[in-house]
Amino acid sequence: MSKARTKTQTATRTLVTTRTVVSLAIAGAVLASAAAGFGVINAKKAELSTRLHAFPYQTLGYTPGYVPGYIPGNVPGYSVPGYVPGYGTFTKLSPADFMKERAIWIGRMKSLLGL
Amino acid sequence: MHITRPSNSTIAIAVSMAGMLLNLALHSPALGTVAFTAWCIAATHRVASLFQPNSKLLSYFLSALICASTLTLGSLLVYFTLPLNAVSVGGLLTLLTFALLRLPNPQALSFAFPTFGNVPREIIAILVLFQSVILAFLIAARTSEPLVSPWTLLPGSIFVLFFVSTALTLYVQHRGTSTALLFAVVQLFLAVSVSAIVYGIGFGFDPFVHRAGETALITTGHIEPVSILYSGQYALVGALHFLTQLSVTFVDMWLLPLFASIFPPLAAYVGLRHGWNIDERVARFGWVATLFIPFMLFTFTVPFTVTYVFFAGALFLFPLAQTTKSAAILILAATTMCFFHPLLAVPTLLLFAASWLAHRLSLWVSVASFVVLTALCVPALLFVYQMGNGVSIDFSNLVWNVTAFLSLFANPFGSYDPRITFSLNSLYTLRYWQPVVTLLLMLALAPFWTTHRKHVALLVAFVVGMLLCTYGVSTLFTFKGIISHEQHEFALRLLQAIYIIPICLIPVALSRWQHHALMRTLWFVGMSVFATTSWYFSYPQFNAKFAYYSPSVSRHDVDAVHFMETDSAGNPYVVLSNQMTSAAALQEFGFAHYHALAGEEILWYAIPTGGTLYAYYLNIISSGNTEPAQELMESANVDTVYLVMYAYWPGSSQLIHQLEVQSSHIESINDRITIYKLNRYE
Repeated sequence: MSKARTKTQTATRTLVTTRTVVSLAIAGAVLASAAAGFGVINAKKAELSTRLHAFPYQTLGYTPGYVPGYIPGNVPGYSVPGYVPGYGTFTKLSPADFMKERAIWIGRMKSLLGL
Repeated sequence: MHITRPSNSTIAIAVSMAGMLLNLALHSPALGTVAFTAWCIAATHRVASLFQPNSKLLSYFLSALICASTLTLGSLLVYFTLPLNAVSVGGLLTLLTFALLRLPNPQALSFAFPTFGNVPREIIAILVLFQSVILAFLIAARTSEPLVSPWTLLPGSIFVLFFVSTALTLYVQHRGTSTALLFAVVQLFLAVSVSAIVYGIGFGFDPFVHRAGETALITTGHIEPVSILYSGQYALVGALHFLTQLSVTFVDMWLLPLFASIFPPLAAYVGLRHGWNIDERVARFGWVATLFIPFMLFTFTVPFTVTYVFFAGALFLFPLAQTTKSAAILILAATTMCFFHPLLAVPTLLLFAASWLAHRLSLWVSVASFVVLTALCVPALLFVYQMGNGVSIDFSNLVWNVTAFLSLFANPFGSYDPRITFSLNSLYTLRYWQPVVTLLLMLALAPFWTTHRKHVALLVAFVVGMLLCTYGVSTLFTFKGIISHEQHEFALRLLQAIYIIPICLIPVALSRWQHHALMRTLWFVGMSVFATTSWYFSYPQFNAKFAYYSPSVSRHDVDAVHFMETDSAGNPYVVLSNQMTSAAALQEFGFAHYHALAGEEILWYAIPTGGTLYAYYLNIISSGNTEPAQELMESANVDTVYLVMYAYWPGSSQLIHQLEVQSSHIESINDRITIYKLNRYE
């Protein structure tokens, strides 16, 4: 009886100790990741405050000088939330403009593929 | 003589009221916030005594709805009849307090240290750590520079933290007590507060306009024209400003993030538990369904978003309306919402009314009348609005303008450039199809739903009615002063609301398998994944798939508007700028100057974007020629036009070069913004 109780107590203690060790390990990993995260934020903020010109699109994989999404008449600089249904995007392009954009891309893809 | 000692409730209400009244002279935001919070808690406790104590949380929830609605309706009464100022708001507070004190005394509140049931302490500690790190990241990223997307500043690890903290929050709800809902509130706060924390000057454009209106209201006591539309938000923010002494900007900016953090988890819990009669534990984590579809409209305060959050909660709450008392309270709250924005508030009101009727009349009669009324309500309101503005309606457009309705469903993520990665394409494919598939699944499975048939029938009727309503709104109306690509704004908002109608069925469906550990785990993980992707899509993005450059209002805009106001030396002037600079002007100066142009009074900045001034701006920046500015100066009878260009616009350098040779007065603001001063006859 007393042996069984001792066994249970030992098992409980082991479980609690394991849980505490795992929790501490997770907490350590989170704190290390947080420290790295703050470094990233500071670097990006510094870059943002010194950048004079538009976001370099080539960092997104585009060729320099190319301005995706720019359609004459739709002034860049809009940032009013656009209630595009179910998408939650922030564009002010009308669905028709999107279709135009899409047609341009399809044309480019076809020419790339030699169709 | 025997003097009865007043109850603790009476003392709490009286002392907190006295604190707020005293603070109208002291102007302390700290004292105001504490006194107002205490008054709200005491008032909710007092009103809750009117309900049967079968569920404390339900009583408090309904009581809080009554208190919030009464305070807003009282503020509205002041707004429509008196100047809204410290005296009138103080009078309203006194009246409400005396009305409260006439209610019966409730039982004394019993305070107990909150417990979290069977949740290990280590899990709670890790969850708190995760949530704290996310909050710290957001605060560290706060900036007043022009920002395209908050995600461009934050590390990728924040999404891992959000995913894990959502899953842990769900676990805590499952193992804990209803106290664990506190963690749901915190998690939702982190989900919806990104833009309020990160954007240093302010987010979007519309919130600036509403804040300028509210500032004018508290400064002068009234704004003209007095209109029902938006009045709920203006009156409430004005009253909260006087009651708490917090600034209008602060109250406005945090109104929705706080409402969206607190209302959905409580509404989901109370609605699922007592309306849908779902198991306690499932009801506790039902809130996560509100994060299933991207929730951008939970994140910034404008009158419509307040009603949208209420609408999301109403989807869980409407079965409560089967009892007359609950129906009356829910209808009171929905009526209050109509003063914010009727577009969604009126259909929500009809949903509550239909739920009440469905338990008294034949289900089919209720459903049929519900569909017809939902389909007609918003088009009828817009018809009256358009007639009032002298705009005629061509009903044949219901037949000929079908493309306007179909275009609402176009996929905006249609760019398939080969340089866009497979993962990005997949993510945006999920984004487009997730709401559509969820809605279609709901409609397809509805006939096979064996439990809750009445509620499911009402939801299906709601979808049908709202779709018909959206059809009418998109095909019939063209709105004055709204730029062409924003004409479908109302229809798109309705469609967004339709897509979230099925969310309440997600936890209801899970309740069938809640005892199956594997299913439950999969559900936790799956919902956490969807909540994380929704989080990403709920704020502006900037990536190869979605490469639209839309910087926010920045400190440079603020500096620019101050420069022009000083430089004009009190002489009338007009500014042609992007609307972000106009937003900064509204924030700094309010509706300061008007000019007569083309037979109407217009603001001195180019707003609205469908207005005459903005057409001049578009004309100049698309042609690179400043000649139209001379014509504008003649027409508006001003001697100066300032033209504003932005170094951080894509493709602006060529335009700046063209404009430089046409202006003799050029001012650079922090190397980011160039202002061209154009004088008459020059």
